[in-house]
Amino acid sequence: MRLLNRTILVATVALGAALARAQGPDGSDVQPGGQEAAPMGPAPTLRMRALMARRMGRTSSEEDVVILVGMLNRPEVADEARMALEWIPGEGALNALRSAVKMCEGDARLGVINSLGARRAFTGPGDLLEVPIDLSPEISAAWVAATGRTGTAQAGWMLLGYEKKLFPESDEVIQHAALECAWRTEQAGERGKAEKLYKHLLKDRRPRSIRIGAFLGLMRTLPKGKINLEFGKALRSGDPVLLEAVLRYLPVAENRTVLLALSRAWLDKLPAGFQLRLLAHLTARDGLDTDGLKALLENSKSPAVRRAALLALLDRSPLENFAIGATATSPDDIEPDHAGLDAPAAIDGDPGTYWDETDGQALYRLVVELPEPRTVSALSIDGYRHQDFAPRSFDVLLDNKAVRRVENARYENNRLWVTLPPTSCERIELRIDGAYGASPAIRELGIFDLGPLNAELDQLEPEETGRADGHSPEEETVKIHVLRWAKEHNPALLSDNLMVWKVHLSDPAEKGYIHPVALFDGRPLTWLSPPDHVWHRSLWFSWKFINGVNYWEEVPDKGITELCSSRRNMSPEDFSATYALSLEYHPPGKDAVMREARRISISAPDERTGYQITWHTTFTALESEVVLDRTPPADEPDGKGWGGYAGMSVRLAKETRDWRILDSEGREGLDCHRQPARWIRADFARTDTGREAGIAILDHPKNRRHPTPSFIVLTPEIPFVYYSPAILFDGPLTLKAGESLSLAYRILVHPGRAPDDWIDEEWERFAQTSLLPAERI
Amino acid sequence: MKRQNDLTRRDFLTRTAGAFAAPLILPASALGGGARLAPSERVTLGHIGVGGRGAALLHEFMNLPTTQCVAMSDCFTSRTAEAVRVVNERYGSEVCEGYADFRELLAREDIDAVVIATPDHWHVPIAMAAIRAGKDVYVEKPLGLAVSWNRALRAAVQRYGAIFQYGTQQRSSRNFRFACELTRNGYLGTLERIEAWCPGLAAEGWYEDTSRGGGSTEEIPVPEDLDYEMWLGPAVHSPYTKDRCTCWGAYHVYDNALGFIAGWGAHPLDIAQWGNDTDDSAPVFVEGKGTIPEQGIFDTIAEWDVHCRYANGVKLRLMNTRTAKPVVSEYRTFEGHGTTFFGSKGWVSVDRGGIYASDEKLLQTKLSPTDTHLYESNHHAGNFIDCIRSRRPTVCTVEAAFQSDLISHLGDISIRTGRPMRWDPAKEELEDDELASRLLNRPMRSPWRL
Repeated sequence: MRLLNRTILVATVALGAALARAQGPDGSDVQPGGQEAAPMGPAPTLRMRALMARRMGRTSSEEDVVILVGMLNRPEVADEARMALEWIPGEGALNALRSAVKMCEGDARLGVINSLGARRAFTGPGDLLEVPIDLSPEISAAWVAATGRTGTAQAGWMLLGYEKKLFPESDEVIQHAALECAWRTEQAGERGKAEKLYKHLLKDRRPRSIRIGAFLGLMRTLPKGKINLEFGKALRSGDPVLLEAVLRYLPVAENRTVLLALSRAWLDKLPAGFQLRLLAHLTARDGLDTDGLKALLENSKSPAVRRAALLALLDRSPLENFAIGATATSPDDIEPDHAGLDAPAAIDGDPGTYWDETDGQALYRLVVELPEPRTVSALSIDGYRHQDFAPRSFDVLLDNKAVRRVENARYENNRLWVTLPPTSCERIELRIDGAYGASPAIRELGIFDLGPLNAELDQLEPEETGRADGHSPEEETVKIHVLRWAKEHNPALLSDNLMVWKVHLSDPAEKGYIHPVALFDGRPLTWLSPPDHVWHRSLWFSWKFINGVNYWEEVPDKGITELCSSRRNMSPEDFSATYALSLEYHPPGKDAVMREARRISISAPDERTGYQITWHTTFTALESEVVLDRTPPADEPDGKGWGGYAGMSVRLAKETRDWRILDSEGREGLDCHRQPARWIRADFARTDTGREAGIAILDHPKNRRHPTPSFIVLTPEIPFVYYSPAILFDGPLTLKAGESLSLAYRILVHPGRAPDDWIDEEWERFAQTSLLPAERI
Repeated sequence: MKRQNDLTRRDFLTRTAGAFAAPLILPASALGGGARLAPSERVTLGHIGVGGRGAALLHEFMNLPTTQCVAMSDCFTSRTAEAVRVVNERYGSEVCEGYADFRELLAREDIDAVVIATPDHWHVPIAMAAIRAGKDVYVEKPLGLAVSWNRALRAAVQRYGAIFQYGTQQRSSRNFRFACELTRNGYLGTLERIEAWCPGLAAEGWYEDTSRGGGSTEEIPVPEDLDYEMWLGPAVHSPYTKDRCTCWGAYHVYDNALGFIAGWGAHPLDIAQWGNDTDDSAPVFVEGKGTIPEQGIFDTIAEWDVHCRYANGVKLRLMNTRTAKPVVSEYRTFEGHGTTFFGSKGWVSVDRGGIYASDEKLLQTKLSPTDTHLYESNHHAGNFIDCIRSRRPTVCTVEAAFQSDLISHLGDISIRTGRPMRWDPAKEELEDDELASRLLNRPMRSPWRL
């Protein structure tokens, strides 16, 4: 086995093909990848070096040291040889590494020193004195760190003697190394020696982490009688580093009782932020007793401290929870979530179980009925976890009377306390209309009469929480969305892996429509190919008749709207996008009669205002005149009640309800039908989530026939909700051969129900833009 | 007649923001909203490694009301930039900054803690540097590339009093905790053996992706987007190939990781250790068999069957999914990962999809007040932040991380050397095996050191 290893080494040095024959000693600890066994050329390739580093240390022995040392002189393989030497046990390899320090240069020398450190190879000051510490900050730092790993008190003191004598950046390395020496000295049982080092490191203006480490070490190594004294000194020091160290020490302290009493005594004199953190220890079960907490509640000047004491008292007091033994129901017709349980789980006394229902609903209800009337003055709610999947905004009703509204509930240790006017009642209801996370799960609902503590708790309710510097409240509520472009042929935007929109460009026989049109929740607001009108394409543009040929419906002999080519520009920075499309319109089996150049620009989505789709299009008649026509309306010869439609269209999703169709002139619903308007829009709610949204179509003022009459269908029972600025409503339109027609629309897709003045403002902004002909690509 | 507006533009902008602040956007995350703390009360975080798992963790932390993510660092420039953008959009400010070199991030004194989700070989070196810089650390699993590194990290956590959270989030799920409580409190009788299994390199189900093969061996130019030298860091220098710096490559190249015997094994092993009450110890005997791919750059253990024995006689069997399937299917519905505790009276088994038992009644057990109630955490990231504020230990400490990761290392070494390992938990040494003992350490490429 060794012979083979030597062969490998020799081969490596010779850079020969012998390496290719390399095998492990027993075949099991060496698992060469196929590429590694390939014959090597004369240069030590990266692959060969990697191979050496992986294998030599694991397989070579002290007999190989000489060869490895020889390789240390070759910069191209020195680091790998050094790594192998670090791995080989015994004095031979160790001495080779020691000797190599002066022989190597640069990173190779650093590596050798680091290897000596890893092997804890330095035994005393003599080793360090041999160090060429003046060579560079990196070399001296490596030496210091390696010396620190020897872990003797002697080495620690020697290192500290070099403070301010090496390079400026060396001091911190020295201190960390000395701390390691103290630690290892302590681990070796030499507590007295370690204590002195720790004391020294605690002094002066050393880095925070050093001083904290030194304080912890000191507390571990001091005689028991001195611990309390040192702890008290730190508390009284007002030094934020020592106070932090105190907090880190308390959880691991062996005898906390006296230390907690000291902490309590000094609590009011400590900085406010520190007080609250210390309270986490004081109010723990093994912290202050009930009397101590009461004293804190009565005497502390800090409302936050008093509140923490009160909550700890509540946690420990034998309050009767009226919810236990009561019945719980959820009369909201929402299905339980698969992960949660039915309403009784919220009052079963087991925080391991929880009530949870389908995500994203508008209103959740939880009703608890008591066996007999009780005076209720407070509720406790344990949410699912950490302000996540927990009630956020809700009303509390006692015997069907609303007594308390909670907004933006702030949970403390996953619990929310809600004070109520003391009321004798049998029925307690939560009507939850806002949640952290996707639904308001409740592990436990506690129902209590707090007696005199109720007023205290009410008084000590958390103050309005602070906000980030420079943030407005609105900005505070903005949430993150991870946007990315979908990896598919049809360009689409994903937010948190949910599709916001997709432009359909892959099928030439399609019309270049957009579906879905959604918001950040990925729930489509529009309907693609509804069964009643399968040719409805969500958000799309289509003519009805061109020269008498039907281009609108899926009928025999329909005209072909052919997508000839498309080009896209999708921003990786702000996720806006522009698509340029070329389309042709031709009767079946015949040449095109009209061309279209279309440019669709979609703005970056905004959480508050949604996004805009700007639709520029230019139609050009080709060889001969083109007549754009529609089914005539009822007041024309052969007219139909449904006649007049064509052009830019929206068909709303079947999962919508509560539609309000509005136009720019103040009309609503079917009153908008055939009335000219600058914009037409619909606001609505989704049936599944209850979330409100809207889609508005703005008509550019330079569009032919602006303001364009609207075409409205509003048939809730299907539902069939369609609206469009119908450019042909009042009559066909003719383009002479070679004549162009440019149109522009802007579609606003927004959350919530939008006010008219916002839509007006957006229309004004759109009106300022040019109606440039879209260019054919 | 103009319709009377019931909303103003200002109202709209405000209300739509409010509407979106309700449970509308990220179904699995907390939304700070009006309940966020003042900046002075928040824990400021730096995130090192923000691809894949790192990005997911970023979301976890960013949505806690008690945190503020202020710095990002990744060897891929685009990932750093994207993470910074996402955070700044979330906060509506420019508070977050990106760093090409994690050491610059660590030098910032205003950062309280770092979340480390880099390739495995960087976990310990970065965590060590962070702790020396006074930070608390959330370290993704597995722990480190070598037992010696893990030992150094454990000492540093103790030396500096740092808060350490190990990224084995199963401890923060009720079912896992409950299974361990049933075991620890004797509801299964005397614990006799444990089975733990997880996906291997070519496991069944969704982990199997034969298109990945063993990773391309063709050396290609390093992408401009990547600082490859920094990505390699202390690991052995290897040529850049297509699959090396991908998520999959980082998991399955032995220079950079132990593979899923540690990377995924950390999860069921963590639960096995918790249930066995051996967070501070490890098996004394380990013997494993396994396979290693013979082609491509992926050379970690692909499939394994590792048998261990604790000092108390309890046996532990660690398997990859394919090996485990016929074994586990004998007694429960098979899932690709899980942990089963077998006692003298029955068994309980748990995975992320559910909890199973030899007798359904076991699962209805109500723990008595005198029973051991294990550390309750319902949010792994939140637990870390809470502990930074209170300075209490996290649900998965560095000691627990060290011991569970050690089992993966010992299994790996046993398979690679082809012989059983005898571990001395007191000395933390392998008994009488010089070659195997070497594998407890990994030298670092210069100039890196712990």
